[in-house]
Amino acid sequence: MMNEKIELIIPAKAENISVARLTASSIGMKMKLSIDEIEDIKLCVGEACNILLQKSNIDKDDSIYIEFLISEDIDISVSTKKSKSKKSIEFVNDKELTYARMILQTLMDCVEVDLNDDIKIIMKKDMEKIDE
Amino acid sequence: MSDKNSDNLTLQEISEADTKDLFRFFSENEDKRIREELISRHMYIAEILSKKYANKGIDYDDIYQVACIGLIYAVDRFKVEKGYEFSSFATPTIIGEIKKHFRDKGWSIRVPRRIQELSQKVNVARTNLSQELQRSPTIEEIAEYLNCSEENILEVMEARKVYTPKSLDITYESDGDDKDISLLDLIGEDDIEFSRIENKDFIAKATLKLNEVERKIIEDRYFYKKTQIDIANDLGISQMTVSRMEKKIISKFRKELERTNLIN
Repeated sequence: MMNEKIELIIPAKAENISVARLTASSIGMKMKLSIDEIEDIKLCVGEACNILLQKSNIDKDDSIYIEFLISEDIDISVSTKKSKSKKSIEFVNDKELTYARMILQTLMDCVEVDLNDDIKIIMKKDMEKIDE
Repeated sequence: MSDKNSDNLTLQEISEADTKDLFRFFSENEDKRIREELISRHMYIAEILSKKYANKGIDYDDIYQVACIGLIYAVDRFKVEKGYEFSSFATPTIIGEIKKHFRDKGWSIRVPRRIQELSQKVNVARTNLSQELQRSPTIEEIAEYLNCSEENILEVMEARKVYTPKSLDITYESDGDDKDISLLDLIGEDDIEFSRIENKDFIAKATLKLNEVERKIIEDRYFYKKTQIDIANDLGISQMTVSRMEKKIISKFRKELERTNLIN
């Protein structure tokens, strides 16, 4: 049983989100997930990145840090990585953010948000075993 | 039917001639005036079809132009002796041109044609394998089925995302009858069974556990019979997201149902 951590740091720009998604899909493939599960994970990684890009105060000089912890299950954490110490503002709590969080909650098994200097979104997915 | 030699018809005669006769004349001598008459008589088809595909991410004017080109192709290629009505021939021809235009225009960034075509194949493979395996296939299985690399499959899945959500809808939409895009709506059958479940209590309880967005999706789909596209527009998210969430919610319902059945 493998236990691996895969890390990705991308500049905080919308065009880089597809790099994150593709990495997620590649990891999903490595874990032999089904195409449905892979699409769910891609969507969540993309949504999480989007939330940080649009609702937090990072800009193109900052980065987004994504960590995949894979074992029996997959834990994904998406957080801001600020270039200078910039105090985090509260998320702009609007309808879009609410919907985005609900989407994550639907597709992933567990979603947490950590608010510190960097904002971290943690998502977990328990793998559906095929013989269940 | 006129025995006139089609070579020297006057404009007057052309405008008064029967459509089928005109097609016959046209195939004999390719008179441009006859062609124009035939096209203008059938413009209504291009208009009707253009309206059907309007408001789906591409300008009406664009679509109308493409539809007219399709009409011209149809006029040029129609063989009246086969006995079919011209409109039955023209309609698929025009729709084909419109769809091709969407497929070409709908990719927001330049994506190689091989990827666009592979994307269609992946969809078909996915549907077929899902039915065969009775579950969602892995990337490995799809790659083997299509005899291409796993990375290609991933590449194609990601490239698809660059469609604007609306044009993605059109590419896979069955002809205009508001059915959902997803060919792989495996859940389709489950949906019907679910809506037949009399157990209101179960549904009421299960629905309580849903969040606001999930509840809206379920209500709109199953009580108001809205399309995924409409719901996506309401919520300001993509159709794909609605589709994925709907599948997820249904599978949660099913698990809950199994759980309550086990308990009972």
